[in-house]
Amino acid sequence: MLSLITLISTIFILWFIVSTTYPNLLKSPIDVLGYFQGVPPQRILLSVAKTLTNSLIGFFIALILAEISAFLAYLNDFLDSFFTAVNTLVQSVSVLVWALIFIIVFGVLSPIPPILVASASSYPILLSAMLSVTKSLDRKFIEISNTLGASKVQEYIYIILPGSVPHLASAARSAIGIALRISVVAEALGGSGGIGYELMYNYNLGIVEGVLAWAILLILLMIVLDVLILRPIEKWAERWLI
Amino acid sequence: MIEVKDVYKSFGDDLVLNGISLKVNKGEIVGIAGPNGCGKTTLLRIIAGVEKADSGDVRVNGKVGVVPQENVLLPWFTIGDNIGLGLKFKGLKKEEIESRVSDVAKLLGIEDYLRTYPRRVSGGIARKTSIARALVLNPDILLLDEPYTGLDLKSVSNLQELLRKINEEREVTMLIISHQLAELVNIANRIYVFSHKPARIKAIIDSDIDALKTLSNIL
Repeated sequence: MLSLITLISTIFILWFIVSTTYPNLLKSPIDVLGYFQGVPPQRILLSVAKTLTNSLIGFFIALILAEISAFLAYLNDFLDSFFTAVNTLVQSVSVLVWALIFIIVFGVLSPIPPILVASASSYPILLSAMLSVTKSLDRKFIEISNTLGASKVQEYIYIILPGSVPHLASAARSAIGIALRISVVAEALGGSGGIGYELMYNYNLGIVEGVLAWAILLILLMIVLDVLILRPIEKWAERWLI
Repeated sequence: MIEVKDVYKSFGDDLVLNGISLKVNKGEIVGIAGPNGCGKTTLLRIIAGVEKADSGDVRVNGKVGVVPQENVLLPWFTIGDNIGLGLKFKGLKKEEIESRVSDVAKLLGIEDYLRTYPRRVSGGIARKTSIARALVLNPDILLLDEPYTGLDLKSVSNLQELLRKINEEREVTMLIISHQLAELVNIANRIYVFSHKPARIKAIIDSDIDALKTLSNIL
């Protein structure tokens, strides 16, 4: 936590020095703070809530899909190869392509594209983690569950799933971070609101301090999410390792 | 209870079991001793139904519980959950699982560790947990693979006492594997001594366990 505070403080000090030395190149932290004072608080809250909701819904859709895919892959060798191929394909498609496709399909004003873009970007991370656990988990655990009479479904529920939790928690931290950053891209291209929309809106109007202000808000949101929610969840998930 | 007749087993070109025949009667404790890597565990896995013999006949009459060489406790479950895992697989209700786990834990003296995670218990407790996990399913036959590995002399003696108690009180037939003949002589009714790989039976030692027990009481 101390290292994080040190890092943020260093960045702000450097930013302050650079913006004071070259005021035409970069707006100062004071200008950015001034921008926020002019924005109604409910607009800030609504935009943050919108982005957070898009990212989290997108992440949970990806988590459910990744779990279902990994479960099916565990049951059958063909499905295992199939979902490995699906994973490669989804990973290789650019985020911009996903955003454009979903906006074309659902429309510019639809709230769905940012959610689906967040899902498409976090799904491969989660599925990779799950598929690697099903292959790397100690076979002795599977063997002992067989001697105790476990079915294939019980093996997955009692052995694979709990065994994957620490790996999945680490992957989830990355996936939520990516979902948050990526959903902003779809918000920027669409017109349904959120931090991404605000960023693009300020960019189009040439309000530099506005772009910086919303960008900082996005970074702070990710840090708060990581420190207050994701890290404690990861620690909880690893409790039996300690 | 267990009858193994002329069993052969190879892994590729590597012949492991070379015509093994043995018998374990109901209520007996039978030992298999032999050098490391001679094929004792392979035979146990065949009896447990985990491996298949290339040829020969294996007959097992009764429900089998397996205590593997390594404890293989699931680290994400507590000791209590590890013991009750087989019951969970059978779909038993939570109350019944808890009651049966508690009974077995008391029998083995590990009731204080039921809420502890495996990483936090000693090798002896982990071994007892592994035995409890097999025992909670009420097996007629218990197959124990090197149950004394990693235990000190006192723990070995305690475990032998415990296995005798389980054998007598619960009438569980036992087949115990060990590379140390000395670990079997004061518990087994009969010991099959295996040769180096490919294993064949080198000797059969019949021990009068009751006489030994009487002798140890007198001494």
